[in-house]
Amino acid sequence: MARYGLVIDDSKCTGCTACTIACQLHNNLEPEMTYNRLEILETGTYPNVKMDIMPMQCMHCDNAPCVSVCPTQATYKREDGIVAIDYDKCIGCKYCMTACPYDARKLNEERVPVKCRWCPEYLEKGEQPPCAATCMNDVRVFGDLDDPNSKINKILAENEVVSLLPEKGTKPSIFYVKK
Amino acid sequence: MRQFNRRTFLKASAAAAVVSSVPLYVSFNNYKKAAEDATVHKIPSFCQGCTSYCGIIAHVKNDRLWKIEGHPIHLKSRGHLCARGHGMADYAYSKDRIQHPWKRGDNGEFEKISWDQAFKEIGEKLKDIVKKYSGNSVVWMEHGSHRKPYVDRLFDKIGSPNFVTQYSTCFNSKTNAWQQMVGGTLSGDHQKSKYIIFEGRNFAGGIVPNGMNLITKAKEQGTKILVIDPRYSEIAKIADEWLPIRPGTDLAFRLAMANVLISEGLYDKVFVKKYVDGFDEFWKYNKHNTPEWAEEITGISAQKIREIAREFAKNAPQAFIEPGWHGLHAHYLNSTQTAQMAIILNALVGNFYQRGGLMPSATVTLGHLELPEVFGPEKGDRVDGAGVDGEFKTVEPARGISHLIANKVAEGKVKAVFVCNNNPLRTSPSPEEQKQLKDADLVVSINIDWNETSYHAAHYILPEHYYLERYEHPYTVSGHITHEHPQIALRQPVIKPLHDSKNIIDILDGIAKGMGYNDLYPFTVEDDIKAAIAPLGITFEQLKKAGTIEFPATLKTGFPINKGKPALKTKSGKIQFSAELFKLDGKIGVPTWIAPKVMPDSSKADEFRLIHGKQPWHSHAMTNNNNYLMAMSERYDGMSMWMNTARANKLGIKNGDTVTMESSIAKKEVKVKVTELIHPDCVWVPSTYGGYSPKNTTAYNVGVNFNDFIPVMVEPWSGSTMSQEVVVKIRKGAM
Amino acid sequence: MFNRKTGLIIAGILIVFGLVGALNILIHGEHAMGTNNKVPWGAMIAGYVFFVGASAGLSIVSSLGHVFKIERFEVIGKRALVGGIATLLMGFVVIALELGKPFNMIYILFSPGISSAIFWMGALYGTLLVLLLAEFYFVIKGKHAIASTIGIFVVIADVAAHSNLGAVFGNSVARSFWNGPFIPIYLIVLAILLGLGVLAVMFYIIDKTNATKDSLVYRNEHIVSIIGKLMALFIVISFFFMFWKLFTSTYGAAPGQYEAAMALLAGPLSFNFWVFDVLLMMVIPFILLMTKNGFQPQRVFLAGILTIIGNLFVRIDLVFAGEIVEFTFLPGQESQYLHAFVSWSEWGVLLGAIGGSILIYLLAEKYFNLDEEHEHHHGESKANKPVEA
Repeated sequence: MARYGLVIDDSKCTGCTACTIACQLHNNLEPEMTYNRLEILETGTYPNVKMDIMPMQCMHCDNAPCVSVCPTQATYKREDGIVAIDYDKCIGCKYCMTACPYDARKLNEERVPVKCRWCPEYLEKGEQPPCAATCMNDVRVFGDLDDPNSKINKILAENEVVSLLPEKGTKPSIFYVKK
Repeated sequence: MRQFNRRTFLKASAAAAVVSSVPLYVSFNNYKKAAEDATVHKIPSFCQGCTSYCGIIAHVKNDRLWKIEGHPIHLKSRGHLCARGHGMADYAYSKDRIQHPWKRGDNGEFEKISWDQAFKEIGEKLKDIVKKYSGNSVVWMEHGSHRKPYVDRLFDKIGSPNFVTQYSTCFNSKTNAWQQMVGGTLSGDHQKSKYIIFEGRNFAGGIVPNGMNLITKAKEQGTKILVIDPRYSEIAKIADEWLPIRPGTDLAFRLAMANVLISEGLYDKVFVKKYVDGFDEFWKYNKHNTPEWAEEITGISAQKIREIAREFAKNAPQAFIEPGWHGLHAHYLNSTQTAQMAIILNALVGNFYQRGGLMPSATVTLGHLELPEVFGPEKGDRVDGAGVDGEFKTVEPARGISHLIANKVAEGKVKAVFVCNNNPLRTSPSPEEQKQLKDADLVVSINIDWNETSYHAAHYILPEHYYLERYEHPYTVSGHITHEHPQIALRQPVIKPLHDSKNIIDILDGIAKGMGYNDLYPFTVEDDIKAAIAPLGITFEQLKKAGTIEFPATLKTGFPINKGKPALKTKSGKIQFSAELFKLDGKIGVPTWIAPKVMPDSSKADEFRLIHGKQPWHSHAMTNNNNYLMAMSERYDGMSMWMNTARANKLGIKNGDTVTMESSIAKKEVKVKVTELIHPDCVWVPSTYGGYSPKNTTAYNVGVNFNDFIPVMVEPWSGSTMSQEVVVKIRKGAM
Repeated sequence: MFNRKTGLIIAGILIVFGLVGALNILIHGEHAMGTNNKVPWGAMIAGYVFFVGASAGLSIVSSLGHVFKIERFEVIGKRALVGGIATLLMGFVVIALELGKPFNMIYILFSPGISSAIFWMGALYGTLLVLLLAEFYFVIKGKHAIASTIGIFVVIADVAAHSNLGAVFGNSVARSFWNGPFIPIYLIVLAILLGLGVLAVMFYIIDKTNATKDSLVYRNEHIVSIIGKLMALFIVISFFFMFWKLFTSTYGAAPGQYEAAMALLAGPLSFNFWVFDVLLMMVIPFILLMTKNGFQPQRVFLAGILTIIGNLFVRIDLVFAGEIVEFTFLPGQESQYLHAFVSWSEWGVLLGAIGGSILIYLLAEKYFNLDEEHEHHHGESKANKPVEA
C-alpha cells in the first residue's frame, strides 16, 4: 500500500493561481469554492522588499484533528494517507472546520465542509493531480513516501523540509522545502 | 450566490443515479458517481486564454467540456497551463455569450435577427458604402492577423487596404525595431542562459508556461535573474535582485549599460565587427550617456549599472536581456528606442544565434490552398496612415494603428467597420473617443460576448464559434521561447457549437453573398488545413488526433550566413544599429536619449505616473468577464491600484481606501493597495478591469482601466499608444 | 400584566420570528447566517449552548430539592423539570437548524466517531432527553421514588453532557482560546447562573399569575429571594472564571489567546463584551441584588432578566472569540480579526426558541399538575400571599 505525500517548494511559486482553477474545474467546483489557495506576504521596506507566496491545501495529516472530531466518521483516514470525506455521512456540524488549524475546509452549497481530496484517481496511477500537473514552475510534487525511488523521496532527501504548525501535533503529509 | 452551471451538465445522469436522495439536494456522492461514470473524450486543441496559444487536451463528458490539461508535446505548454487557460475554457458556457445575430434597432435596443437577414442587410449596406465612398472607407479590426487571409479575399474584392490589428496598443515598438534592425524577432534561450535581465518584462505575468518552467529550472541550476521594473512583478519573486527603475527611463538605463560595455571594452568586438552595421554611428551619439548621467534619470546608481553591464558581459554569450512582449513596447515616447537598445545590448555581447543567448524559433513552411484569384479596384493609402508618406511612414502597415480608427470615423474617412475578436472600446485609450466608432454607417462586431464594442458601438453583432467549437488554419508554434523542433498545432472543435454561431469563413461568405459576390469563398477551413499540411507528410486525421505534431530539429546556432556574408533580412544582412527607415526628415536611425513625454512633478505630493501590467490570471481586459478568474481577483485583492507606502502616507491614504484619480480626460474612483513593492513615482493598475458593458455581467463596473485615463496619442516611430505617458492626480476619498 | 394569555401572545410572536428565520436558513443555508468559512460557528451554536445550558442549570438547581433534599428548593422541582425539557427541546431545534444535514445524524448510531466530542454530545443529550422525559412521566404519575432515582441520573447526565459540550470547544488544538479545560468548567458555572436567572423569572411570574397552589415562601423567605442569593454567588464565581481566563490569556501575550482576549477587551467583540457579558450578565444584576432590598422578588426578577440576556451574549462572544483571530502561516504575517455577526435569521431562530420554550411550559402548565404533592406543607399558608388584582 502506498503512502502519499506532497512536497511544495514555495520559493518557486509566482502566484499564477493555475493550481486553484485547475482543481476547481477538475472537481467541478463553483468559482467561489476552492480546495487550495495561496498565502501571500510582503515584507521589508522599499526597495529592499520580499514577497512570500505559499500554496496551501489540506495537509492530509497523519494525526488529523478533523478525523478525530468527526462524529460520524464521515471524515476518515485512508490507508494510503489520504484524509477523505464520505459526503453522505456528514451531518454538517462544521466541527472539522473549527478543528483544522490550516483553514483547509470550506462549506459547499450542500452545507458539507469540503476540502482538497488529493485526487486519488491520479495518485493511484502514479500521476500528478491537476494542481501539480498544471503548475508551470513544478512547485508541487506528489508521490509515494514508501517508494524509496519516488521523486518525492529524492526531493526530501536532497532538501531540508518543514511542516506547518508542528506544535499542533497534526503530523501533516505536506512538506515545504526550506529555502 | 448559487451557481450550479458546472453541475448542470451532469444533472440528468446524476438525477437518474439518485433515487433515494434527500429531497433538497442531489447528494454529492451520487453526483460524483454519475460524473465519474460518464465517458471522457480527450480532444487536443490549443488555448485562447492569451496569445501564447498553448496546446491543450480538452476533457469532454456528456458533450460538455469538463476541463483542460496542458498538451504534453506543445512547447508552449508541455503539460502545464496557466489560470487564464483553464478559465477561458470554461467561458464557453458563459451566459454572456452572443447566442445569435443581433441588430441594433432605431431605438438603440438590440433585436434578434436571423443570419440570412444579417447577411442581406450587412451585404447591402457594405455594397452601398463601397459604391459611395470606395473600399478605402472600410476597415477590419482584429486582435491579430489570423483571419487576414480570409478577410483579404473580401477586401481585395472591394479594394480596402485597411486590415488593422490591435498591436498598436500592444507591442508595435518592439516588432518595428526588430524588423528594421534584425529583420525579425529572436527569443531568449532561458534554460541555457547564465544571466537573464527581465526589464519591463514580467514572464510570470504574461506567461508562456513552459517558458516559466525553463526559467525556474535555469534558476535551480544557478542562472542569475535580474528584474528591472517599477513594480515588484511576479517574476521579481524568483529573481536574485529587483531594481525598481523610474518609469519611462529604461532607455537611459540601457544607453548607460551600452556605454559601459563599449567604454570599458567589454563588448564582443569580433561579433560587432562581423555582424553589426552602424556601431560607430551609435557610439557617436551616445558617448556621453554615462552611468552617472543615467543615475540621475533612472534612480539606479551608476555603480549598479556598471556592475550589471560587467556581469552581463562576463556571462555572455550565455546572457541576454529579454526581448520582451507588451511591457515597454507601447508605453512611452521613447519605446521604439528602448526596444532598439535591447537589440543593441544583446548584439554588443554577441549573443545572437547562441545557446543561452538569443535564438530563432524552429519553423516549417506550410502549403497553400490554390484559390481563384480575386480582382478588385486598386487600393488607396491606409486610412490609419501606417506606412503612408507624410503620415506615419515608419509604422508597420501590416499592424496598423488601431486606436486611431474611431477618430477616422469621426473625420468621416471610415464608413464601415468590422471588429473581429477585438474590443477597441476597452483596449484602446480614451473610451469616449473610441465610442465614436458607432457613428460609422456600418459597424459589425464579430465577437463571442457582449464586450464594450458589441454593446456600445455595434450595429450588428455576429457570433463567431468559440475557439473550442471551431477549426482554424494550423499554427506553426513559435515565439518568446527557444526550441529546436518545429511544431504545428491544430485548433479543432472539442464541443458542438452551443449557440447559433458560425465559422469566420461562413460569416465572410455570407456577407460577400449579401453583396452579390457568390463565389469569393469556395472552400472550407478543413480544405485550408489539408492544403496547409500537405507538404509536411502528415494527414489531417493524424493532426486531429495528435493536436500538436513535432518535426525533426532544424535549429542551428551561429549567425545566418549566405555565400560567406551575413544574411539577416536587413539592408546590410547584418544587425543594423541604425534603422534606415527611421532616418526620415533628417532624424537619426540609432537610438539616443529621448525623455518621456510627460513626467510627474516631484514637488507635488498628489502627482503620479499611471502605469499598468498584466495580472498572471488575466489577459488584460479579454478575460475580465470570466467568473472563475474574477473570483480569483476578488480573493487576492486583484482590482486595487498599487501605491507606494511612503507616498500614500503623505496623502493620508491607507490600505483599502478609495481614492479619486484624475487625468486630463477622466476622473474616477479606485481602491488602493498600499505597498512597498512599487516605485514611489507611479501608481500601478492591472490592465484587466473597468468593464463598462452592462451585458458582460461579471466584468461590469469592476475597477478601473488605464485606458480610461489616457488620451489618444501616437508614438511617432511605431504608432503605439504611449499608454504610460500620463500623469494623474490622486486624492484621498470618493469623488 | 402577567397572565396566561399574555404569555401565549408573547410566545406566539416570538415563534413567528423563529419560523421566518428558520425558513430563511432552510432555504438559503449558510448564506442566511453570520458565519463564514473562517468563522464556521456562530450564533446558532452559541444559542444551542445557551438553551441546553438553561436546561442544565434548571436541572442542577432543582436537584437541590429532589436529589439533595434541600427542602426549600423542593417547590421548584416539577416546573424546573418542565423548563429543563422545554429548553432542551428548543436547543435541539436550534442545533438541527445549524446542522447542514441533520438527517445524517442517524450515522451517529451506525458509524459512531467515538473520539468526537460531538458524538458524545449526541449520545449524552439523547440519553438526557430520555431520562428527563422518564422523570417527568413518573413525577406526573406520582411515582416519586422512581422519579427521584431517575433525577439523580438526570443530574449526572446533565453535568456530563454539558461539560462534554464544553469539551467540544476545549478539545480544539486549532483554536488556542478554546483549547483546554476552561470552557467545560466555565459552561457549568454559566449554566447554573443561567438556570437561576430562568428560575427567578419563572417563579416571579408564577407567583404573580397565581399559577401555583404551592406556597413560594419558605420560612419567611420567598423562593425568588433565595434564588437571588444564589444568583449573586454565581455571578461572583462567573466573574472569577472570566477574569482569570482573560488575565492569563493577556498576561505574557499567549499566542492566539492574547489576540482573542483582546478581541473581547478592546477589539471587535468589545462592545458586546463590556455591555452584555460584563454589565448585563454580572455587574448590574450584582448591584441590583447587593444593594438595599436587593433580594426582593421584583429586584431578583429584574436581575434574572438581565443575566439571561447577558448569558446569551456571553456564549456568542465565547464562540466568536475562539475563531475571530485569523490564522497566519507565514513568519512575520500579522493576524487580522475576521468578520462575523449574528444574522437576522439567527436572531429570529433564537427568539423563536425562547417563544417555543415558553409555549411548551404553558402547555405543560395547562395539561399537567405542576404543584408539589407532598403530604406536609411547609411555611406559611397560601392565604398570606397578596392576591393579584
